[in-house]
Amino acid sequence: MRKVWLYLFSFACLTVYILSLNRPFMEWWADFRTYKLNAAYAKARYGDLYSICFLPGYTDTTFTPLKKFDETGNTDLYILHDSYLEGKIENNNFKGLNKLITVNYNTDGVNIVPDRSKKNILIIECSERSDWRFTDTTSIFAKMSLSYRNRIPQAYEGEPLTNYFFNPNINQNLEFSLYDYEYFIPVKELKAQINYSLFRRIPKDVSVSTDEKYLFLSETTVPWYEASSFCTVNEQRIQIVTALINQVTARYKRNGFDEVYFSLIPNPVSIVDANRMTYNHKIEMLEKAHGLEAKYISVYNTFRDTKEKIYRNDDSHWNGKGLQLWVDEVNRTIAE
Amino acid sequence: MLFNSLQFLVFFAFVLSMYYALPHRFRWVLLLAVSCYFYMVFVPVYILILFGIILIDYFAAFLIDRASGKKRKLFLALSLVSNLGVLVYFKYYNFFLENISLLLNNFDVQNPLPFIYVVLPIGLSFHTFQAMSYTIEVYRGNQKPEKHLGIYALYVLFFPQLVAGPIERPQNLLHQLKDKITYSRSNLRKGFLLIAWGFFKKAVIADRLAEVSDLSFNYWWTQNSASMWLGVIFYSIQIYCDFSGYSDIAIGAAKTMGINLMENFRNPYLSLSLTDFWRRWHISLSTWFKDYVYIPMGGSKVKKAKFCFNILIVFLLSGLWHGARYTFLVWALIHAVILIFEHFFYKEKQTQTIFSAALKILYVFFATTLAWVFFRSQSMEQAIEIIQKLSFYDTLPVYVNFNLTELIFCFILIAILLGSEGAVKMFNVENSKKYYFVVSSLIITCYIFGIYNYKQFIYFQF
Repeated sequence: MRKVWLYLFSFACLTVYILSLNRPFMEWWADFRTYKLNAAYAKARYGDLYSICFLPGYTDTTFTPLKKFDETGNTDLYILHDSYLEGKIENNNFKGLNKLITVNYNTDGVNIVPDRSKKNILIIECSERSDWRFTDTTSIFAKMSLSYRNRIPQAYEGEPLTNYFFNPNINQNLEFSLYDYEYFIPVKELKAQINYSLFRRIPKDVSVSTDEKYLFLSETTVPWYEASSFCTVNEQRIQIVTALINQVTARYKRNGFDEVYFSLIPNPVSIVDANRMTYNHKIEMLEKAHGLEAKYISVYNTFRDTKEKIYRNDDSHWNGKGLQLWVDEVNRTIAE
Repeated sequence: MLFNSLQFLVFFAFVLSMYYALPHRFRWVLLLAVSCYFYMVFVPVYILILFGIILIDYFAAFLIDRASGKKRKLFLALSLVSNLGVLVYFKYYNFFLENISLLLNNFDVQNPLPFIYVVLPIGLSFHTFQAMSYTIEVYRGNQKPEKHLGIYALYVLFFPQLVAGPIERPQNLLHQLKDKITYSRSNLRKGFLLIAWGFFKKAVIADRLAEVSDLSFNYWWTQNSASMWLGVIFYSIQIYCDFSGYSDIAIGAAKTMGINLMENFRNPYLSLSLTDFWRRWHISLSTWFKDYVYIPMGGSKVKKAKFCFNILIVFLLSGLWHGARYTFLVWALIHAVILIFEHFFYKEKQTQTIFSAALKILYVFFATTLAWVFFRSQSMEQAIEIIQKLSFYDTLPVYVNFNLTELIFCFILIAILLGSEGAVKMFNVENSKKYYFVVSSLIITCYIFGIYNYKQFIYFQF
C-alpha cells in the first residue's frame, strides 16, 4: 500500500513539474483561475507592487470610473501607450471622437491608415520612468507602421525547444501554481511585516514612501537608475530626446496626422514624495526644451497642484482620479 | 538546478518518492536520468562533455586493470590527460593565453592564438576530480573497474554532489549505488535535518551576509575601513555557510536515499591552527590533494626544503583548482606559507585553557579572513587596495546597507551557527518530539528570514 501512495505522490509531483514547464498551459491556467474560478492571483487581486512585497496595509481597491460623454464628432484619436492606459479608456471617455484606436508598445506592427476625411490626432504616451521609449524612434515607428509603407514581415521567433524541458521561468510558475492562493496571503504578509518592522527589509524592486503611505518601484527612487526621478539629467540627453520627438512628429504629420502630441506621466514618487531626495525635474526640462517643435500634453503641474489622491498605494500606476485628470487634459487639447 | 529553489523542492520530492517506490533494479536508471536532467538545467549541451569523460574513464579503467608495467601508466596518463584537457580548455586556456600574450608583447610579437568565449561548465573541477580519482584508484589496485556503465556514469553524475561536491572516492560511493538499500526512518530523518540546516545556512545566513560583503567588495573604493572590515568578516562567514550549506544539502539529500557521502566540513572556524583548519575545511578536496599529490611527492617525511616545496606545490595546485586568476594563487600561497611556519614553529597541545583556545581561534579566523580578500577579489589591484583600506583608518563615512537590528541579528546568527553546527550533526533523530521541533523551527526560520533571490552557490563557478 505504501508503494501505491509513493507512486501517486511522485506522479503528482511530476505532473506539477511538467505543467509548470509548459508556457501555453500556464497562460491558460492563469486565465482560467482569474476568469472561470474567480480566484485572482496576487498581481490581479491587488497592485503590482503589493504582489512583490506583500506588505499589509498597502492594498488599494478603490475604483473611480471615468466620466462618459455621448457627444461624438469628426476626430479619430490614436494613442500609442504603455501600461498606464492599458485597458482603461474607451471611446466615450473622450469628447467629440469619431473613434479611438489604442496601440500598446508591446503590440507589434499595427498597420495604421489615417482616414483623411477625419481629423487625425496621435498621442504618444509613456511614463516618466520609461521615457527611453521616446529615444527609440525605430520602435515607435514599428509599433504604428503607416499605410504608405508595407510592414516588413518579421521572422517568427518560436520558443526554443529547450524551453519545453528547461523553462527558465519554472520557479515563478511553480510559485504561481502552488503558493499563489488567497489562504497563503496572511502567511506572506506576516513574513513581509516581520522583515519590514525589524530590518526595514522589503524586496529590492520596491521602496516605501517617506510618509509610509505609498509603495514605489525602486527604479524610480534609486538615483543610479536612469528611470529614477532623482537621477541627474544632463542637457545633452534632453536635446537628444527633443530632436528625436521632433523627427517623430514630422514623420507622422507627413503621413496623414493633423496633430501629434507626446505625454509624459510623472512617476508617483515625483508627485507624492519629490522631496525624499533632489528631484531631477526631467519632465519640466523635456516639456520646455530649447528647439522643441513637438507638442506635449502636460499633466505635471496639474498633478503636483491637485489635493486629490491620484496614485494607488499598492501599485506603480495612477488610480481612476489620476487617469481622469489626464483624460480631461486630452479632452481640453482635442477641443482646441 | 539550484538547491535553493522551488524547482529543486518539487524535483527532489519526485525523485525521493519514486526512488522508494521503484524496485531496486530500476533505481540506478531513475537516479541517472534525473542526474542528467539536473545537470542539463544549467546548459543542456554540456552533458555531452560529461558523457565524453565518462566513456573515456570507463574504458581506461579496464585497460589499466588489464595492462601491466609501463602500459598501465600510459593508460592512466591518457585518462588523466583527457580529464585535465577538458579542464584546461574551459578553465585555463584564456588565462595561459593572456600571459603568453603579455610575454610576447614585450618582444613586439602578436599572439597568433585566438581567445575562446564559452560559458564554463558548472562544477567542472568537481566532477573532473571525482572521475580522476576513479582511474587513479583502479591504477593503484584499490578499486576494481566497474563493469556496469550505467552505475559508473551515476558515480560521476550523482546529482546531489555533481556540481559542488563532496568529491567522492569510488571505494565509498560506487558500491552504495549498487547496494540494495531499504527504507530507513532514521536515514530519512537525518537527511531532512541536514537539508533543513543546509538551507538555513544558505538562505538565512550566507545570502544575508552577502548583501554586506558584496557591497564591500564590489564598491570597495566607497568603503570606510570599518565597513570594509565588516564586509570582509561577513564574507568569511558567508563563504563557509554558502559552501558548507551546499554540502549539507547534498549529504542530506543522499542520506534520505540511504547513501552516505563523505563529510566535507567540520566546524573549521573553531580550529586552533591553520593546519587544523585544513583538516576541517573542504575535506574532500584537501584529502584528494593529500592522497593523490602530497603523499606521492613524499609528504612530510622528507627533508625540510622538500617538505616546503611539497606544501607549496599542493597549495598552488589548490589555488589553480579554484580558478585561473593570480588572486587564487596568492590566496593559496598565504595558506602555504602559514602552514610551513606552523609546521616548524608551532606545536599543537592536547590541553588548552579557554583563553589560549580563544586566541588561537581568533588567529585562524583572521588569517583565513585576510586570505579570503584575495580569493574574493577580481584582481590583485583590488585585493591590495582592500588590504590597504583594512590597514589604515580613513575619513570616509561608514556605510552599511543594514540597520542596527539586522546587524545584531547577523551576529546572533553567527553565534547560533558556531554553537549549533556540531549539535546538528550529532542530533539524536530518534527523539520524535525534539526532532520535529528542531526541523519545523528551521523550516519556519528559513521561510521567514530566508533571502530568496536565487543567488547561485559560490562554489558552482569552480
